[in-house]
Amino acid sequence: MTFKTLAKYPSLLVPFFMNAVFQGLVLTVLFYYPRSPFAAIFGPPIKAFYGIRFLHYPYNFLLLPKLFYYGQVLATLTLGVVMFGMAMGMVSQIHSEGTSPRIGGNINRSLRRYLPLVGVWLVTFIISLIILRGPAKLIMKFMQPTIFAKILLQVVSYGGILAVFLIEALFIYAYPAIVVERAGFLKGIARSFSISKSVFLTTAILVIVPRILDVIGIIIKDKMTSATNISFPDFPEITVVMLAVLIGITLITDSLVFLSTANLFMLKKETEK
Amino acid sequence: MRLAWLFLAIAVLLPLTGCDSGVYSAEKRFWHASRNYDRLMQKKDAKSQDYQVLVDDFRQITIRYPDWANSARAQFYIGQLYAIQNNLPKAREEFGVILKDYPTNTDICATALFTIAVIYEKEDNWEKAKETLDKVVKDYPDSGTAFQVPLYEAEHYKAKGQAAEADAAYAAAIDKYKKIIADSPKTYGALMAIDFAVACYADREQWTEAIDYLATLTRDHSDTLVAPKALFVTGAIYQDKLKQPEKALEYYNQIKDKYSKSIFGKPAQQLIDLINKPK
Repeated sequence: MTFKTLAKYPSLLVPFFMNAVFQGLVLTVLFYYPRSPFAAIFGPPIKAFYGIRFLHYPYNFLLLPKLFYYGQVLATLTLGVVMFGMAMGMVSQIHSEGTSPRIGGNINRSLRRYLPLVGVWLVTFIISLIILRGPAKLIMKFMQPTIFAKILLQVVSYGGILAVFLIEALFIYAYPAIVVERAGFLKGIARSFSISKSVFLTTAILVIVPRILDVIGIIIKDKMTSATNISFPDFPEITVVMLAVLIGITLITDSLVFLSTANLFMLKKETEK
Repeated sequence: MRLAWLFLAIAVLLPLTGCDSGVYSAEKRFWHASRNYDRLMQKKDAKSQDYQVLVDDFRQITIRYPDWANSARAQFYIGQLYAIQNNLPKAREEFGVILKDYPTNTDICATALFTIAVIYEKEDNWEKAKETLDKVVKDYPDSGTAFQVPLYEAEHYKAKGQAAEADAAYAAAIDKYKKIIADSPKTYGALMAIDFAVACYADREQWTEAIDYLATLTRDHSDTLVAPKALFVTGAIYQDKLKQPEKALEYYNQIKDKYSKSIFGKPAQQLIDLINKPK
């Protein structure tokens, strides 16, 4: 259904496209961070936190993935959530009016719901961070580096990724609830839980299947960039290429996850009437 | 939609305008050229064109970024590339450019001048080599390269079989290194001078003399880094040259007991562990 809607209203991709362009801009700025004039802004904190060598070629590429991760968080916190909200508004408009969705109007609609939207994203992000990093840190702190500990670490990291997907499935309907039903932060989350509970398996599939592509992309990027010296000894810039590919993958997966769940939300809403 | 186009325009324009003061591009070129240099050194069938390509790469750096901090190093590579090809007059000329164009970069100037002296020596012109070595000491007295000069001269006489000159040169070198240590025991130069002084003894296999001298250093400079360094070197002589690991342990243990927090504490502990490791 999502694909059909997308084929009929390709403008639904605009918010995700804008998000990707913004992330591309962030990546471009970060690519240039060791150079003037960006070095004047990024130089002092990078020197203080990571060391002066990361301000020089080719070591800047070792730090780039980490900086881009922080940049992505900031980009999602600012423009990203607005775009997600905008997409929710556009899906709702298609369902209620059956007309081609307006871009400007839906940006305004999303901007007005910025605080609860960002709240939901932050809660999901923090829970995911704890799930992904907490158990691994505990294992490393309290266990000896045995084979069992290594296996446990692998299990915990893969289990963590799955848990993060399930968390996203639980919170995903909060976005349409906040934009379409004008629910507040807590009401939106409560509404999301209740819908997720009733269609949990479907939601989990709608979230997990596209997100697997994200995971594959991240694994390939990590492998390519950590093995830079072996695979691409003369091309440290491969890191930028990989990060750009990741932006493209996120564009696809975000569109699929948010649009399909928004469609399901609207259908659920219609059946509730 | 306009916003999206604006973002896109900025994202495209930024790389095209290539906002850079030059330093980053210089670093990039230098990194690639240095890698190619290392690769060329590994190559067994390198042709003169291969050297020329690399000379051109480094030359571009010196021309495009003359004020960049590492331009002098790029020029040094050029000199080395000619020296490797045995084009010694050209190599000398290229090292001379460093002295002329980068006079404030004293460390690399000292190294360049020293290398010019080595080239003269290779050309069997010891008189000119000696003159140049003296100039290194005179013009750059505080550089590490200048510290190397007395030992280098002594080694030259030894290699040429001039025993009397060699003895005199070694004696003079040792005196010089001893003076440096005595005059400024708290400096990094003093630590370097210990190595050179011991190298003078080592060249003539005078291990007992070396150990005696190091013992005086340990005694006279117990409150500086000279003492743990002297203990460490004594341990190394016992361990590697005299094959007496038990005796070496005594010295490493002294570092562990008295100077564990110094820079020699950790390596001494590692050597203690190595010696005590069951074979």
